[in-house]
Amino acid sequence: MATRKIGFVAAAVLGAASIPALAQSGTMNMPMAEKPAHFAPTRQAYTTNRRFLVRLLSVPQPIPFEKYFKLRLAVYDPKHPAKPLPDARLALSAGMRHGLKHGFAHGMQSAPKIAEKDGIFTVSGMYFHMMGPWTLKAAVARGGGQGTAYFQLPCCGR
Amino acid sequence: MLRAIGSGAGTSRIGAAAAATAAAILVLAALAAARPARKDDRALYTPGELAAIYSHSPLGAPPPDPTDAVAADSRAATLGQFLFFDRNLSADGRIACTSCHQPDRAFTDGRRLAKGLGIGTRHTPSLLNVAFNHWYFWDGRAASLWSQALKPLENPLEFGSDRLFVAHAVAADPALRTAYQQLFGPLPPLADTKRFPPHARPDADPQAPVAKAWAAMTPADRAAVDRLFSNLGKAIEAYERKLVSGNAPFDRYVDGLRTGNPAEQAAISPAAKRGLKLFVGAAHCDLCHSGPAFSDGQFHNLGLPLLPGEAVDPGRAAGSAAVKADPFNGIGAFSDAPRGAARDQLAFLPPAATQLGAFKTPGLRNIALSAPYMHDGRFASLAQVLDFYARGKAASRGRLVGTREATLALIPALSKGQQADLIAFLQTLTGAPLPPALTTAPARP
Repeated sequence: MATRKIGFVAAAVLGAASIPALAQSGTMNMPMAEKPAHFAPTRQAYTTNRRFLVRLLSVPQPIPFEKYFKLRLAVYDPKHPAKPLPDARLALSAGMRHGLKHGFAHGMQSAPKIAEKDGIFTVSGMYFHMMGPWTLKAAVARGGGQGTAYFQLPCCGR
Repeated sequence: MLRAIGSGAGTSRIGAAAAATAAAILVLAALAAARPARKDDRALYTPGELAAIYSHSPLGAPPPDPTDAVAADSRAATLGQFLFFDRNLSADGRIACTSCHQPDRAFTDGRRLAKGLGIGTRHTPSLLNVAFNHWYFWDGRAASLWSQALKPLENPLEFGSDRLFVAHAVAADPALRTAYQQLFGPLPPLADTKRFPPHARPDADPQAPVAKAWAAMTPADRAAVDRLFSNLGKAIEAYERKLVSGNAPFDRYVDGLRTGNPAEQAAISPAAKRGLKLFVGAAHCDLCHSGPAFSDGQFHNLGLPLLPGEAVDPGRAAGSAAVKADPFNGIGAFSDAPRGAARDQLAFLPPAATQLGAFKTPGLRNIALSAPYMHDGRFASLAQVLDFYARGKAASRGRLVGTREATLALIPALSKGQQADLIAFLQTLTGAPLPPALTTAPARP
């Protein structure tokens, strides 16, 4: 019994430790399982086809509960990730999975607006009305290529 | 020797005292064993559950409303309270705000559907803690409490009145007129009935007599009447903001959890504590019923099938379009802070189609006093509400309006015992009655 408990705890610790590592390494390129409420937001993610790298340049910490907030993102060529791509297009949606593997159990009760300047996308009108892990879906298009990257954002300090 | 004797006598006394002490300890230990030591209730909850519980109490003061410059003015509150009880603003002189929002029924009416001049299509929500809302009406078609207060006056099923009639009623009552002018300045020259007819208002039917009369007025005169009308709503908001009820047994219990005070931890029953643990834990109730007012202030489609004969109600899908078009919304000419937070609230409204059949999450404080439940009052009791949630998708068989929100799948199949525990918890959210000074008509405005 004791061994099983230790094994479980070790697995949980290892699992928890691996989450920020994955996020920081930029290898988060698949729709993710939900995380506990306490975690750092994903800061960068590849699109699922690894065609683009999307970085979350700024996000409030903690994200405010039931208040509008802004994000800044940029899209990069994974082979040349030093400079944002100037001519990418970005569409965003956010929601909570609540155990769903695909799609959202619900979205935001808000329709954010995106402004782009010099390859930096400023998203205003983000609004989280529920505590817990939210998933941000960033759909990128550039030239003939497109891809979708996923970020996890914790709401809201609990 | 003496010393030895004395010593011997002392030893004997010490022995007796020690025996008595030991006996006392044994008695105390036996008593303690018979009556188990009271445990701190914080041990009943996980750290996450405790954090969630603390997020619900205390209630605190309502958030400010910068779009209403007199929201905190006591003179405005008295004027608003007078208007709230005033039947002279209705078409037949019989309807007041209190017709549906009855103070002795937690500011609701106990009816399935609201009844004014006619029968409405939705249940009357309670006004206790109303100022904590983000949006007003079940569909959120008003963005502030003052703009909400104006709508029933012109609803044919409620007051059946119009803004010109209301303006003339204020001007005709010397006390009302004086109270108004002290707060908001002079009234428009309403005695000139050529410019200000007895009845006029905008109407969906441009051929309606009130609509024709409204169209015949100059834009400046219409704006002057709209200003007066909006000011009356702001006074009513100042009163309704005082309808705060936060001193419930649940609040005393949470205070007891924070301080470790066992007396306060006894403020609610063991069943209610089990219900609370479910509420913030396995049953996921507080995903939507969050915060001190127990509402996220947002809109959700619960998958309520249409009742026999019930008309399709688009809910928030219609409400979001209406609030955007409302001249009394937070960014309009009559808002006292059109560039503030109200601007974000309206700028980022989601597409209406995504909110078909969604209705506002009601706050749960005093919920035991405001039966029946749901936007159409379909459930007579909390037991029926809990049964609906416990049955999951099966309860949503029938014709739905829009799509049932998948979040509901998180609610487990609650047993009857769990449902009873949740109801026991919900009953701890009933606050003390408001003072009569807030629940009766003031003698003068």
